[in-house]
Amino acid sequence: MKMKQPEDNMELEVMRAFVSQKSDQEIGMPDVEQELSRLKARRKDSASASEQHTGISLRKIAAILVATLLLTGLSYAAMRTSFFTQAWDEDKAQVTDVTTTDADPSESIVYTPEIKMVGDSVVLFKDFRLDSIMMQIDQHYQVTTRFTDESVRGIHMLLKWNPKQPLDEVLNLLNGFERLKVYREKDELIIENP
Amino acid sequence: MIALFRHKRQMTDEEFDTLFRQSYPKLYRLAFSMLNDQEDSRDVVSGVFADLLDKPHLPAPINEGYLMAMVHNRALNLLKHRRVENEARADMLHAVQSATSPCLADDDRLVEVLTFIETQLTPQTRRVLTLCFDEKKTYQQAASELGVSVQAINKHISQALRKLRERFNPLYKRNR
Repeated sequence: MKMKQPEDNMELEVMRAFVSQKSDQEIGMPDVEQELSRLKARRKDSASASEQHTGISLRKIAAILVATLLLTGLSYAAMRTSFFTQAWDEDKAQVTDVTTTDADPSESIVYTPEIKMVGDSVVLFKDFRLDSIMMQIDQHYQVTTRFTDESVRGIHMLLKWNPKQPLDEVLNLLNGFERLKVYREKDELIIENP
Repeated sequence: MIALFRHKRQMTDEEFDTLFRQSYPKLYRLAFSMLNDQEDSRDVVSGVFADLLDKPHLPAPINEGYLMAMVHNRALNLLKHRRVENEARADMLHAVQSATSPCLADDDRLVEVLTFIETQLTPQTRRVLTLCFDEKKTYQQAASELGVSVQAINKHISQALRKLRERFNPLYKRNR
């Protein structure tokens, strides 16, 4: 039986052989230094365009957060009788206040959540509810958050979030909080009270 | 042959520039031999280097052979795209598509191939090869220019490739 002929580069080699005998001028060989400069300039342009795009996305996120805040944040915070509050100190999380169950309404803390941009790319959530923060994170990373313990939904946090960070890094950040255990299952983020 | 960076090591600007300067002419010639168009060839080669800048952590050492394979594949993709736009180049595409191996011949071998074409093939076959492989004309166009049938063009090319394979591809001869 005749074996199948092996495939080779013969046609391509013939084409290359014809081109190899031509001068640079005949084939329009570009100036290598100019091409290198052109490539680097193009790359620089695309990098600055990408930064601009990120800026627009962050402004959108900020606008959505402010709207969310107006609808739910302030009124809910004022009505709360038990709460947690946690503070974010530069790179590590620390719990500063814990549960108060029978609090006198007159002693309730009224939160004034706000959002700020830190530098070009970092979003600072100040006194934001965890579920409001997670809404933004869900939308940005295309995931869905599920709370196994409803009590952690309303934790108010001070959190720095860089949307350029990979999701896993954001989860590590959240897991720095003592009262949270966050993990991922496919497209779902699960938040527990450990 | 240069191998400028290793597994998971990011290439420095200096290394990238060296790789670019040393490899560009050869890569451009390869692209031009397949595309026969200066702008397309520039775009293909620049695209390969842009990929290197965008994905600096590549799984293998980057050498000239790797870049040649990247240019080869990009040029093939462009030809496939062009096929939709221009059916007349389908014959050329068919010829190029059979070149699937990423191992590309070095310059010495190309000189040998050229010498073989010039010394061992008939003048008419040489003319057919020049029209179809150098000037990138379709079989139909070559047939019209030489005043012969498309079948005759096909026969010249088949015979020429068979002789070239017998001379340059030892596996071909063994398997026949």
